[in-house]
Parts: sequence; C-alpha cells; structure tokens
Amino acid sequence: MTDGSSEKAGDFDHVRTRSGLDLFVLPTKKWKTRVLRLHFRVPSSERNAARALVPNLLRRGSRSLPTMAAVSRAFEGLFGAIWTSSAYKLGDEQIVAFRLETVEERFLPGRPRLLGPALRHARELLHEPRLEGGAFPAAVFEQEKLNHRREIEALYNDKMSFAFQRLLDLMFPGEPYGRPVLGTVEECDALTSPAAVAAHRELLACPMRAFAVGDFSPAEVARLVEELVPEGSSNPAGAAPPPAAAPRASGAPSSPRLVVEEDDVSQSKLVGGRRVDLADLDERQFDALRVYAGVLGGGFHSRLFQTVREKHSLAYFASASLDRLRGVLYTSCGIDAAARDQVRALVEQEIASLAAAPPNAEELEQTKRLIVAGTRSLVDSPSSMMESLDASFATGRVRTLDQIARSVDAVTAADVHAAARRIGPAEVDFCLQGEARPAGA
Amino acid sequence: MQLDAIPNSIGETLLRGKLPHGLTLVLNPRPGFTRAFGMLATHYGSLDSRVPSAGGALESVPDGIAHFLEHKLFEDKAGDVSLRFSSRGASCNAGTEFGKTAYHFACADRFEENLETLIRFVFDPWFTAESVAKEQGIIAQEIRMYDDDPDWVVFFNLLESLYARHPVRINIAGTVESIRAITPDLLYRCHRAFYHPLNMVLVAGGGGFDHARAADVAERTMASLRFEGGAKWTRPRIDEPAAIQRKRHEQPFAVSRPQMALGFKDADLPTDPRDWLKRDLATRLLLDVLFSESSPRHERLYESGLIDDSFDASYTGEHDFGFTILGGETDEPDRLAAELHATLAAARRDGVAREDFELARNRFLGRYVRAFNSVESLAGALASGHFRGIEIDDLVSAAMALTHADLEARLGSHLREANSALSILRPKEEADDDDE
Repeated sequence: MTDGSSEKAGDFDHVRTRSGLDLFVLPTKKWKTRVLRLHFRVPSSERNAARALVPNLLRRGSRSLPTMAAVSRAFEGLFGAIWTSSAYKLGDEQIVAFRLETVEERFLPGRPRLLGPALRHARELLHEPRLEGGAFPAAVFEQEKLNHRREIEALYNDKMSFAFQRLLDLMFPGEPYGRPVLGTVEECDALTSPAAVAAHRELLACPMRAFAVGDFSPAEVARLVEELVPEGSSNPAGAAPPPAAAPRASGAPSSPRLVVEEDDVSQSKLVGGRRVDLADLDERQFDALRVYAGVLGGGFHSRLFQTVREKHSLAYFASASLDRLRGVLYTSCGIDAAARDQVRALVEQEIASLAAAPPNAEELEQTKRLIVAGTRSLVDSPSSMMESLDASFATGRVRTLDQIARSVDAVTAADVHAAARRIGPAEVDFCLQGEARPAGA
Repeated sequence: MQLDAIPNSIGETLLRGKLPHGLTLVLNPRPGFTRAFGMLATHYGSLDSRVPSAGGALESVPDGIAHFLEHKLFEDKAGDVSLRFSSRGASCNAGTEFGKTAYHFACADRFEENLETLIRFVFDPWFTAESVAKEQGIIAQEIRMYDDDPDWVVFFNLLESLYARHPVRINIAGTVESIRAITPDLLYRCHRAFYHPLNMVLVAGGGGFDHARAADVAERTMASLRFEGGAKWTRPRIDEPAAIQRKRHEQPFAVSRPQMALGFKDADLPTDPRDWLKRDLATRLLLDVLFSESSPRHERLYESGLIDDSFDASYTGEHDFGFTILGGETDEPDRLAAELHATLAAARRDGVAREDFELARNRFLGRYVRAFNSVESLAGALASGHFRGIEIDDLVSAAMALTHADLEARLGSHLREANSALSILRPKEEADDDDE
C-alpha cells in the first residue's frame, strides 16, 4: 500500500501512500473509539462560503443514500458512528475537515463490524453526491444556501466571536487572514449550484492531510484512506508553506485606533490586536513568544487577569492569545462600558511593563509549568493531537510534544524580555459597547 | 483503606472506598494516560434556595448563592487558591449546576499535592465583607455575560414559564440585584449545611499517579480535618403545581433571527431513583426516535425550512422536576411550535416503531461506550450517579430493559400541549440594522 517511506512527524507515524497521500497515524489502544480525520486545505479567499457550504450539501444525500435521513440512519445504525465536518482557519488557509469516529467493536455486544461499513458510507458521501443534471438538486441547494447565510449571520449571537471578527475586518481588510471562515453574506448570496459543484471538485483536488488515532496500524490506515480518497483525486500535502512574512511591527501606527460600535449588549467586549515581528525566529524565540503571551494573559495567574479582574474587579475575563502563524497578539476583556478607557489603560500598562523589564521568576515558572503541562496533556485527546500536528506544519516546526515541552521549559526571563520587544504597538482596539451600568460592588 | 471494584460492562477499572468523615472516594486509574484529573463535588446547587437554620427550619437565601460560594471558596487566608494549582502547572476550575457544585483540577504531574490542595480548599471557607464585595463586582460581570447569551436567556425564560415555585426556575448565577444581599454569614451557613463530607464525593482518574497512594493522600488529608455535626442533605420535594405558570413569553433581543424553546413540564415524578432513570432514558430515546436527523419527522421540519442545525431536543430530570425542551433558531417561532405539537400528535397516533426504538437504543449504547473516552466526563457522570444513588452500569441495564411501549407511554403522557410553554427571543430591528 505504501511506497515504503515511513518516518516520524512529531508523535505520529508519517506514511506516504503510493498515490502520494500524506497520512499521520498514532496507533494506540487507549481509546474506546477509532478516529479518522481528513483535512482539506485551501487558501482563504472569496470562495470560503462556497467551500464551507460543500459538506452541508454532501450530507443531503448520495447515490444509495438519497436523503439526509437515510444518510443519518446509515451512520446511526452503526451504534452511533459519527461523520461530521467543520470549517476553520489556520493562518491564511481555510481547512475543511471531515471526521469519522466509530466505537471499538470489542466493547459492544456481538462485536458488530462498524469501521468498514462506516467508511463505505463516508466514501460514497464524499464522492458520489446526489446530483441532478450535474448540479445539486435545486431545492436542496437553495435551502442549504439559506441555512449557510443564517449561520454566517449567527456569528452576531456570540458577542465575543463577533467582536473578534470585527477586529479582524479592521486590522486585515481584504486579506485572506482576516476573511471569515464561512465567507460573507454577500459571497453566500452570490452562490450558484454549479459554483458549489465546482467547489466540491476543488476541495477533493486540493492538498489534504489524513490523521488517524486509535487501534490502527499505519498500513491499515493507508488502505482505509486510499479507499476513502481514491488515487489521483487529491494532491499530496506537499511541503509546509513558509510562515507568511508579517509586516514589521514598526510599520504599525503609533497610537491605537479605537473603534466603538454601540450595541444592545449587557457586557461590553473590548478586544485589541498588535502585530508581532516574526523575523528570524529560532526555536527558543518561537517558544519565548508563547511564554510571553502566557505571562501576559494565559490564565488566572497572568498579568491581565490579576490586574483587570482580581485587583480592579473590572472584568469577568481578561486574557491574551498569540497567533504565531501570522504574528498577532490579541487581548480580550469582558467589561462594563463605563470601564472601557480604564481597562484599555491597564492593558497598555501591563504590556509596557513586560517590555520594560523581564517577568519575575515566579510568574515565569508558573507560566512555563502551565504550558508544559498543557502540552503534555494533549496526548490524552485525539482531536488535540491531530490539530496540534496540523498547526505545526503551518509554522514549519514539527516536533513531538516532548520536544515542545522541553523547549518551553528552557525559556528564560531574558528570552521573554526579548520576545516582548517583538510586540508592536496596539493597532486597533475594538469595543462592542453596551450601555454603561456600574456594577453593584 | 478498602477499595471495592465498581462493576461495568466496559471493563474499566473503577474503585470505590470510604474516607474519614464519610466522604466517598471513586478512582479511575488509566494506564497510558498522561493527564490526571481530580474532582470534589457536593450535592448542592441552585436548586437549594433554602438553608436549614439552627432550629432545623428552612430559610430562604439569595438567588445565586451556591454559585457565589463556588467562586469565593477559591480564596482563603493565604490568598488565591487557583494560583497554588497553576504554580504546579495544574489548571483548576469549578461549576455550579442545578443540583451539584463540582471543583476540579487537571495536571500532568504532582498529582498528590494537587489532590491535597483540592480537598483542603473546598473544606476551608474563608469569607470577609471586603472579599464578598469584590466578588459581587466580578460576578455581576459574569451575569451580564450570560444576559447576552441567547441560549441561556431563552432557556431560563422558559423555565420561569414552566414553573411557578420550583427553584429550577432560578437563574443559576442569580441576578445583579440578588447577589448584593449575599453576606459572609450567609455563605458560612450554606457551607456548613451543604459541604459536609457525607454530602460529597471525590473522584480521581487518569494517568501519571498511583491510585493506592492517591487514596492514602486523600485519607490522611481528610483525617486531618475537623467537622462538627453535619449530615447528608436530603433535598426536599417542592410542592409545585402541575399547571404551567405562563404559556408564552417573548423578549426582544440582540440576535440575528428569532430563537424559540418549546418546553414540556413533566408530571411523572417517581420516588425511586431507578424509576427516574427509566423515565429519563425512555424520554431521551423517545426524543431521539422523534427528532434525530435520521427521523422522517425531523427531515420534514428541516425541509420545510422551519428548523436547521441549531434545532435540539433534550430532557433534564431530577427527583422532583423534569422537562423536555425542543427548539432552536427559526424565522417563524409560532408556526414551528404548532408544527411540533402536530408532529407529536401524529406520533401518538402512529406509535413508536420497534425498528426505530432499536436504532435509538443501539445509538445510546455507542454513546455510552464513547463517554468512557473522557476521564472528565466519566467523573461527572460518576458524581451525578453517586448523588442519585445509581451505578454507572445501571444505565446500560435500564436501557436494555426498556421497550418501545415505554417510549409510547412517555409520548402519551409527557409531551402534551397542555403541559407546554413557549419562550421566544425576537431580534430588535435596530440592533439588526446596525450589524454591518
């Protein structure tokens, strides 16, 4: 099945099949289920809406399973086998992921055969959608298009995610990185059934990585995935793209642009973004940036949480996160509108203080321990293992969890101080702002 | 300490023992796992809106106090407890539900120290007027965050409609106003009443620790603590009228489209825990038969455009309440409610097909096996089972003992229009227009 090239990729076995597919397998008997995932990767573009819609059209029926109910029944009949999809962003890419999970047959009465039949259904759904005259049936297409539009609009219902997307719109207008993963309402409205058929073909032909965790052997997974994605229908994942060159931090404006949108919210959301200079990062500096973000806003012990929430009682949450693919530091706080400027000043103050002096020994150690423990714990979650490996291809640093943990552990206060110098000034502060209502305290 | 095996069909290692002062310990060692998990839970939550006084009578306490107490236990004389966990690389958190409050940590090493910290801080209340005042500000922000969550708001609006008196209608976090009435004295009283070891369970699982040594640490730590009086809390049955409090409630809200929840209030409130289990499972399987994606009824509603992927059907039950909720986002909440009632009436006429019942049961068995993948979710299920007096494998035997007639009985008695109420959130026109 394979061309014999098998090597390690992080904690996984990397197998390249004869047809050139890249598989990453973690054989283990730890779990009660077996999980297979296919990640189709495309650059984010104005076709995000079309590609994110494809999985919803595929589950509406296939050659032998003509309706959504028949599709669901086929999987549910296999003791609740799961076939789901999701679309998410990784740097400048849109990932359309499919996941198949079946229960280990030995835990069920009569040891029913589950994986083989589930795989056949999945294969048919991926490749043989129910088409009429080469297009998705009109009623199905129109309904899924409408549902997709509503799903895009529903981002507004989760005010934190909504605020983040508004920040991305403002910081990265027109760039792939800033695009909403499900596309925009306008892009969705413009979709046609032939465009959806084309997006389906585009997905199946784009670079793909397959991941498997469970009681599999690499050769078995190679056989299964070749069955799922037949020879020639998809391209190998290829080499990892180099991390996008982020604009130098010095190019950013010197005073942050505050954008306020009034809305009917009880808790206001304050989110901010700064560019991070990723030029000439070695492994130590790469991990020092992560430790920096942890000291600033990665947990109860962090500067932002302790200052904004614990010391000043101005927020329910206050945190920071870092995108090391693109080089952006995000801060976010859930606040009362009356406290907006005070919280902005406190965030600024903590960032300035970490630029002025290295973190103290205690907060450094605490942050490192949290990151190391979190990294080591990923091994207990199949999905996290797969997503972490996939993300590591994007940064071009494929390591075992143990290697990551050791590298983080070696980060010093001076490294974090150096990392702080890579953080640019606040570029945009976005506030989704409700009426000011001082708290009862 | 003697540890006894808890039998289960999966063959998972589950051990149970009794710690000093009557605290139950459950262990789930997982060789090959890296992460270890510890949870200390009390049979106390937002349902317990009254606290026993010195004389034994029950006195009302402010709404949201169980959740407030959960927050406040993370601070003791020496400071912030969560920092003690994070200084060892462990994460910790807690959650307050209707009938349970659980404190937990996860770590990749130093499990025994973390386990000792967990036990000590939960049993060591320390409240001052100043620290309570500070927490009021933080929790007010948390409440406002929930106030913006349409799922949360449509849910509690519905419970207020279904129930007249039962404390299940109380928002778990309380309100910005109700938590202002919380004082250190009230917190101490609630802690004394509900945080007695007899009323609690300690669950530990995962990898990277020796279960016998963990049991010893728990035993030594418990032996070093002192408790006065105290008992297992028996939650009184609330005398709730069978009638619906309010048939319909509508609220303008900052949402992209209307959201609805159609609720059914359960009148089947048996006293034997095994009967609740049967009631709960029969209802859940019934909802699966009626509304899972494989059901033709679901398909019809989906194709009509009345429901989409946001649609959900769920049942929640305890000893003295139970409710089913059907709902999601829809453009036509009233029409969807009418269609759901019509669907249920048609299902009553047609009955539950044996084949559909078998399918739902097999799916349940698959889910049961899958639930053992996660140490955390299994721990939560074990704690809830402990408080309800049922064993984990009772879930399988009760499911296997069900028949399609049990589902039909639930369909006939519970999912009736007379038992229902409707909660709706509608977009505010202006808020929608501002949305670019």
